[in-house]
Amino acid sequence: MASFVEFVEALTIVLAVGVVRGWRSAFAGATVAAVTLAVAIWALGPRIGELNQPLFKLVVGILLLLFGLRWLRKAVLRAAGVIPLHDEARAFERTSEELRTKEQIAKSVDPAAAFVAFNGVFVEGVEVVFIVLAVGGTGSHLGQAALGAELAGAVVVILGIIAQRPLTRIPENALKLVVGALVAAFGTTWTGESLGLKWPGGEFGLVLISGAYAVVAALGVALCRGFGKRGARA
Amino acid sequence: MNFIRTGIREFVGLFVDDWLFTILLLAWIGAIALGRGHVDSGTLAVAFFAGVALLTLAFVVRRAKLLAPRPQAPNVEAKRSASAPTADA
Repeated sequence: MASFVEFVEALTIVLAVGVVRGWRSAFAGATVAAVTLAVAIWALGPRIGELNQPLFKLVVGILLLLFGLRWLRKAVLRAAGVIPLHDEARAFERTSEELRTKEQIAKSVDPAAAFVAFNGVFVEGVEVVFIVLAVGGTGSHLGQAALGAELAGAVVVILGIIAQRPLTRIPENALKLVVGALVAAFGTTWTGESLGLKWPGGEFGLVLISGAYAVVAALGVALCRGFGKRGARA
Repeated sequence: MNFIRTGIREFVGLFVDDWLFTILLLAWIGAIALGRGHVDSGTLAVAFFAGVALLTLAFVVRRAKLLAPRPQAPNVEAKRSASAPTADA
């Protein structure tokens, strides 16, 4: 069950990256993370538990926080009308160029998006390894604990495939706003946890922080709407 | 050497679009880390989030102010159109 929760957290990040920045980037990041983790487990064995997790979590947490807040700020400015949702004139002038870009997005890998997916899968993967070592090590049932984690991982992958299609129907900027809030919430939680902070709500802390960031975004849109209208009038 | 420099610059650019925001955010994380021994961890967690939220709101408004066109722009246009026929005549 504990492994399942960690896998769901990793899936959330991969789905968020995939929907906004393309599935190729999300899968590339997740695959590289899974392979890196597998190599680390193979090379280090149970010694992987000696990894300095708080420092690792702090670095990844800060990176996620910066990345998530960057998305959130841009989505707020778009929703307020300060940045145009779609620049029609430029789109008309550069239709062919845009089409080429869209093709390139579908075919190429966005390094930032892949990196976020990598971080999400790798950090959660390391946590799953810790859980398996803790549960399996104390009861001398390492094999059973690993099997439980593998089953949880398989169920989460199936859930991800099912959830992929409905997510693509949500409007782009609304999705970017939600993804920004989610990634920022992960960054905040991990940074805080690495500093030894205890979030209110315990296990639901992440959900509460995501909701709080959504409130911050709504407040930001309300505050910036005046600038957007002024820009539209000018 | 240039290749490494470009690579580092591009990597940093993935996460940093406003240096002042990044520096203030890192300073806030540092301040929270320093407060660990003195303040209850639950209170500190709420303070950490509140600080990040305030910083985000402040920088969103700052960016909106910078991006919004100046209100005197229509007057300049009016002056231009008023002076145009005189020049032709």
